[in-house]
Amino acid sequence: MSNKKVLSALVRNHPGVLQRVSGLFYRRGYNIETISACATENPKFTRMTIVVITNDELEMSQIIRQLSKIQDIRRIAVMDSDKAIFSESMMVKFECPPECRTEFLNLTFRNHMNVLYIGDSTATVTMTGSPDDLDAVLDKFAAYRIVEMNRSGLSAMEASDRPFAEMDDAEFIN
Amino acid sequence: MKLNGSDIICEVLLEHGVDTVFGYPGGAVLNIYDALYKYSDRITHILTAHEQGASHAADGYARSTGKTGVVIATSGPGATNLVTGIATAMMDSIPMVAITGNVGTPALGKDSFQEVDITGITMPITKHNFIVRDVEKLAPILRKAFLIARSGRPGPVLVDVPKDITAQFTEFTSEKPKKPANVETSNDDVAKAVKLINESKRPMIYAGGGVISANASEQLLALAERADIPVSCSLMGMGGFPSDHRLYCGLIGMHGGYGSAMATDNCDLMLVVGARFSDRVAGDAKSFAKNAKIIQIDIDAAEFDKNVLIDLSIRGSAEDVLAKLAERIEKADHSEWVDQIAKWSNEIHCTQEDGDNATPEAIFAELNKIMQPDDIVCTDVGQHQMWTAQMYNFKKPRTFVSSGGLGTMGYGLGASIGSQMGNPDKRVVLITGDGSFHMNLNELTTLASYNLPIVVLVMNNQVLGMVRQWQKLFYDRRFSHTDPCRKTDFVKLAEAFGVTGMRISKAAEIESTLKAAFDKNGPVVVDCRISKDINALPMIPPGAGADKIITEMN
Repeated sequence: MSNKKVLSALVRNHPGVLQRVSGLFYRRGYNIETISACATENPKFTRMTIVVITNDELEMSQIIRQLSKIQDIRRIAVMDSDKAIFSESMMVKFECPPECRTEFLNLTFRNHMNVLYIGDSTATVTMTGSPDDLDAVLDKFAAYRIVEMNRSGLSAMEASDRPFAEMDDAEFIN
Repeated sequence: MKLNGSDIICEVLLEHGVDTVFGYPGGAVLNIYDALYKYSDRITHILTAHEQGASHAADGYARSTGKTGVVIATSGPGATNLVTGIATAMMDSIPMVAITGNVGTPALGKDSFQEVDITGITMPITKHNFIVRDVEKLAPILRKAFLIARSGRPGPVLVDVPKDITAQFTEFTSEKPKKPANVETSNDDVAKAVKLINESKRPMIYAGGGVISANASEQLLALAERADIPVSCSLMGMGGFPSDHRLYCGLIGMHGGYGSAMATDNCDLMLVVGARFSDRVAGDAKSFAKNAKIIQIDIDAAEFDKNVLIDLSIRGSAEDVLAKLAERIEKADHSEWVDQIAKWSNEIHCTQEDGDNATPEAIFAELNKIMQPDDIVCTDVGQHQMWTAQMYNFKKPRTFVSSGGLGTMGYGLGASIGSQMGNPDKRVVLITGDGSFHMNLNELTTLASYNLPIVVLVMNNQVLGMVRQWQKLFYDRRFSHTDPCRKTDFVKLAEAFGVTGMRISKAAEIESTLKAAFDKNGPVVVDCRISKDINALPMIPPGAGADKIITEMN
């Protein structure tokens, strides 16, 4: 992930907030690989994880400074790979005719995957892990054609006992 | 006490000391206008001809007074007509609160009549915006809007209020407005800057709009005088430093003086105050002030290392940081360096003669005699704007009202209305061009309605001069659509609006006509006929340095 940086942001859970963040990336020409926004333990907050494609330290600091000006953002920080933990989930529908099914299911079992749906000629599985884990597993299924795939985008947390930010919403209105 | 949403809007305006608003009524703001009727003894509403004019008026009001400008418009087209005015305020960091009406909450999202998603539209051009979906939140949102508009780096905030919210009742208690939080300046950074300034042999200051918005001109003057540092101003910094001071080297950038340009190239230290190295200042960001250590003072950390890499950043209010620096730096004498810059400034002359015809230079020479230091000069955008920055003698902050970052043609007339409303005791002059003036001259009707004693000087060269100048320089004189052959008679036009019209053609007419215009004490348009081949000079071509400065052209 040398040309990628992971940003984590705690933001106000509000309809416009994703647009404010993605709009900033769009108009300033920064590249996003994935962006995920999801619920937290507090319904007033959303946690966003943004994977930014950049090699440029200056651009990265600009991105953080520009994002920091968005009123809805409580805290934003870079998640360094040695100080953070990452997870992503994916859902993959493989081509899997009945004659391959046993072998396919064995493979899913060995790779700790959950089988969600078995159709006439396909099988859909899900798995969670680091992006590298997911890529590695996909390689093992090279014999099976992928009919469709959804990846959730990266989720990140600091490897620390402390929470990322205080969920103090006193300053937030609306 | 229980109040409806519209009364709450007026009450929150009053809480924030707002006594003047600009706007235009419409269906979705009928309730708000009904409240304005009731509050008319405490809130003056200025009706413009077009919402864009109202937005520029709120902006001009803010720039010239330092207060937050307020504009009100209805939903749909009323709201979209504010867009250029809001973007203008955003680019120049002007505190503004725009209140728009919208269709009632049940009708939102149904493509209702005059419905538009104005919060979506203005997201990139506001500091923040809100849509109010609950009357309970109306007052807190408006208060927050005023707070955001003035906090840190100022800017416009839009509050969209659906019609049903303006009619619903809720409990209202008046509150004192919150003060924006101070940005703490690091003493370490100040100490580092003091050391760099003390060690410098050839320092210069590049002052921008932050000096004006932080009311830091006194501190700037004190610092410059104590350490004997010459000062150049960006367009936004005009008035932040007295133009008749021995340390003043003039405008910096594309149309700045040779002294400023050579000082930039040759200084060993550049202290940047509330400025952002726009491409109109740092044409070539890589070679800008290439021999200097750069210290940048700004309240917005995102400006550090954005366009030009700097050596030291000091985050804080310009007023605060400059005061700290002035307190700690050593007294110095850089007279040799200051004299050298003056020599450079005098090396080139761009005087453009035109026989016995009126010229911008002659008009400004006369204007400089008439105007008082506190009087306000508004401009539109183009050659006349650069002539104003180059030739008008600015002495005080908040006397120059001009669209810098966005470069909004059509800004000036609305801005002059706001400036005059905010400064009833000062003379307000609008310098405009025939191109810019054509864009929003409908606001002449507002000058007439309110009998605003604004003198409008139209630098009428019959062409879109600045674009035409670029076509001369870079497009082999192919004058594509810059010579519109318009037949507008600005004297008759003014009279049709109920405004006095006058004309200057010959240099000999300037003094008497300007005197007559100023003596009118009412709205006057002076059609100043000038040659289409007088250019805005000097000029450093885009992306180039001082060595490429253009001092004459046909």
